Amino acid sequence: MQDTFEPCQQLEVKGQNFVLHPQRALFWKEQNALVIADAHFGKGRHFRKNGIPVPQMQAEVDYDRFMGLLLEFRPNQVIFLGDLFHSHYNEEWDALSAIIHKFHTIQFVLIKGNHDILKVSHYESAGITIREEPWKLGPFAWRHHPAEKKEREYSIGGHLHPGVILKGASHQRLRLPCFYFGKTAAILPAFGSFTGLHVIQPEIESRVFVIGDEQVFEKC
Amino acid sequence: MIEEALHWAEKKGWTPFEFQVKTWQHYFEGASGMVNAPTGSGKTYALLLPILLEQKNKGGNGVTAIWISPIKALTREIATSAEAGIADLEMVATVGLRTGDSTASQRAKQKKSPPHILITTPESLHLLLASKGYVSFFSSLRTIVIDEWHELLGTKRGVQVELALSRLKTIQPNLRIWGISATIGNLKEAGRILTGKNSFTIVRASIEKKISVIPVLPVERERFPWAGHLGIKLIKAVIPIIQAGQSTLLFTNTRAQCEIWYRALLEEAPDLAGYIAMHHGSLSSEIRDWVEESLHEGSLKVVVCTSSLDLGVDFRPVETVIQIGSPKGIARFLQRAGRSGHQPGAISKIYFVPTHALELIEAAALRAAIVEGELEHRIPYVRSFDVLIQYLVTLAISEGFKSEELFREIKSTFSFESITTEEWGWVLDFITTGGSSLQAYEEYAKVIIDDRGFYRVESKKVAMRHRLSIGTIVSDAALQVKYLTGGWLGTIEEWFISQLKPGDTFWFAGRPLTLVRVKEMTVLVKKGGSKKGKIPAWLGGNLSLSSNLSIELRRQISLLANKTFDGVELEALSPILEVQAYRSAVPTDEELLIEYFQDKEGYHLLFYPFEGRYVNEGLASLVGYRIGQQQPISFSIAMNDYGFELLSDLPVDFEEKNIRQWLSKENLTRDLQSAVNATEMAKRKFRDIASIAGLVFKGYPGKPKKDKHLQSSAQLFFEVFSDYDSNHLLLLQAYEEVMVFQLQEERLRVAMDRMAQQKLKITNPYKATPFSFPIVVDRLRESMSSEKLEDRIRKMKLSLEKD
Repeated sequence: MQDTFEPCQQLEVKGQNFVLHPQRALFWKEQNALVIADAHFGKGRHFRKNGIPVPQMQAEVDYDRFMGLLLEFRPNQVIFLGDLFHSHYNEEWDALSAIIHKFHTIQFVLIKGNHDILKVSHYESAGITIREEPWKLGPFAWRHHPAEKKEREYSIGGHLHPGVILKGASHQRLRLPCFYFGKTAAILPAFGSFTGLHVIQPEIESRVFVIGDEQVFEKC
Repeated sequence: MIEEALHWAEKKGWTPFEFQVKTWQHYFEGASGMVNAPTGSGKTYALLLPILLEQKNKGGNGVTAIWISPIKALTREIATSAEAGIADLEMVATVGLRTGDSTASQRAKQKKSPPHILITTPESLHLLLASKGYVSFFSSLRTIVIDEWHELLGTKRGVQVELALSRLKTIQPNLRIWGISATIGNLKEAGRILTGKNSFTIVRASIEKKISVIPVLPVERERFPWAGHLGIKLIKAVIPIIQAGQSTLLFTNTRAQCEIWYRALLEEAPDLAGYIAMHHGSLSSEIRDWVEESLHEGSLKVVVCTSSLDLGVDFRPVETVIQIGSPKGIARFLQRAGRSGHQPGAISKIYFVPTHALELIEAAALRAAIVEGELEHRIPYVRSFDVLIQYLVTLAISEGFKSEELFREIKSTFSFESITTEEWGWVLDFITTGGSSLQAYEEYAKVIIDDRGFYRVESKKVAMRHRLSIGTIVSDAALQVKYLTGGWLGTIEEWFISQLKPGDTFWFAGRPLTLVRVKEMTVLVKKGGSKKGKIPAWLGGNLSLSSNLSIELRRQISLLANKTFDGVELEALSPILEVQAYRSAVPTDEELLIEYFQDKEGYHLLFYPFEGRYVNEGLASLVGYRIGQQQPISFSIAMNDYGFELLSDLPVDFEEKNIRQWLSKENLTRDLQSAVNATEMAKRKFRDIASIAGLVFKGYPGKPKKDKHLQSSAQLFFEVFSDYDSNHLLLLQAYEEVMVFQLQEERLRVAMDRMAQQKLKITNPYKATPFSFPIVVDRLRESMSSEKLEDRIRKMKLSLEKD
């Protein structure tokens, strides 16, 4: 058990400064870059096409959240840490492309995740640059899958949809998504709202930022 | 033909029971009806014989009779009886088994040359409806028998039966429908639901068994535990009972308890090795078959089992029945007691082993309830839209259906007699467009309407996934436990295995196993390992005390409070009641006991309605919600059959006036809805609903997971529907199920009326009491909060526990 939680939006890692946003995204001040992991756009429609009904509104809300972040931070660059689009092409890709075109002054970079199986031409025509993991930018290695062994650079990835369990007096218990900054690697929360949560085991000396409705908290 | 039946009996050298002859008569007159007879009373021949005779005399090609049984093990027994009958009657007829175990080639053969008598389960019958040509397959049908109907009624499989019957009745309007049921409180209703008629025949077997309940009392009374659910403390008293009898069934309430007792018995009495076996629903069918056969042959001294042996094959060698812990209901207890004492006039003896001190009161309550003879009702499921959706897709896979025709059939069933045209429209929209017409569910593809107006499934992938999911009403997705060297042991839940690492030992099927690795849906193990391995548990095993037994329990407690109790349990109970009276109070039936105390865990608020854990949970949520409306507060909630606890880090404003308001019937419906919303109850019910309606597909036992990109969880669906489609019929169904089966709204209202009349007996014990202790130590808790999430986070700490 650690000490209790206090709101915390700012973080410095390797001399670089970040904003942790409760909409489950990371903003990198020095590069003016917005980082989003595991958005899983198109997942609802992929399910629907396979006979499993997921409300359309869910996708709309995720687009709104995405655009909200673009307008709030006005980044030069957006880095998607994989699982941007869920599985095969469907019309949601066009909807996402339209948003990306609207913000054509921004550079969009994708590090492909296991769900990103579209043709190269799809990414090209949407105006998204593909990078292989680990992609080195600044003092970091950017990835989708967390590194299996320690790397020279501090790595920042996604894939896991990390969450933690909080406990309080009287057997209170909460299960919440989090940003996880370990000694050698960080894992970002899943941006998409139609995604699950995987409870992780924080290692010693790691920093865990849990995400509430409107604020991000860290143990102090 | 009745003479022929009597002649057959005479030739066999036995006198038929009156109920058998009566059933034969009614059957030959062409009636539908119900046979009310207990397990092991000759009920099978009451219906099997006339079916065979009719086949012998009238002939007929194709399937002329279907026999539906709730469990696979029974189907084989029925088939054997049918084949023996055919040989006796020197007739030509074929018998076919159709269950989840039937191979593809057996199924193909059956399709080509259908058996005259088809013996199957509700799921397999639905699978037949999912195959092309089922209409002609069933076109010669004369009779359908539903065995152990009391067991199916009150489950969603009962709804499956109703739906299949509605289809078969259209194919064959003169279909005779017969049910076989043990005695339940609502037998007439059960018959009406099954036959779909207001007038039908009930034939009652007047075979009354005398039952004697013998409580097993602790020898060293002061060491008897206040809590716990294992009862192992009494093992020394149990062993002589086993050793004295020829063959014993030892019933436990959960699979985990079954594993624990098996291991403990072997440790305590090693000479039982070779004569002891275990039987529960998660063991492989090979193991279960072997146990059942050995019991039949009389080669086992004791079988530790769960409700998996409540039904089924008659085990003549069984002389003794032992019940560990509360059976929770009178009907279940009688059913179990009836598994012994087969000689005519023999007394069925059942030993009751309480697992903690307060269960001794239940022993007295059970005895009194048996004298009263009031048996519980089985509440039928109504408006189970998940089952309806599954059924419609089933029909769309095979022959397709037309809306108007099928609507008439559906509306003729008990489960859906209240379905409106709007709801029907919603269900059709759901399978064709994915959701209500107000909601866009673009590009949804499951069922299409063809140019002749038939609803059909065209996608082979959808059809395949659907067929695999038809069985999910009974089998929750679980991992298969297999030896590295081959050989299947049974199934285990994923959350249990996720706590283990390769190399760890766990106990399963009564033996220590070492986990080698988990691959896809399979847990590979090897024999042996430490004696101290963990014992798996299976979630959702908590039954609730029935209404009838609750009434009797309250009466016994009141007798104890008034010092007029004179059962044999009194001596063993006295010490614990003295402590309860000293620290708090033992309530009479005119009092509602409420305890309130503070310790390092927080503020404990306990109520004792003695209404069974389901109703207690409903009351807990209601009271918790109402307190939360007065002040921002978070609770963790625990309950048992006696009472419930609201535990908080904050004190509550605890005045009689407030308590009366928390328990008031004013705005009850509204507040209950909100209370259910504030807890996980509906989300839990939604788990089954999502898998039955085909929203989540977790792969199939023994087959690797395909469609990785279609994986999701019921919880996710619950959340997106709550957020974006809150009138979703499946979501509303989850809430309705909570109201009917969990909170038992009717029962809850009666309980609230009763509490309104009671005096409040509020005590402030300086620490936990015998009544509160088992609740206070329970760690499986529901939580509820009216505080802001941000405020709750601030008060919490990071936990290193796994999910």
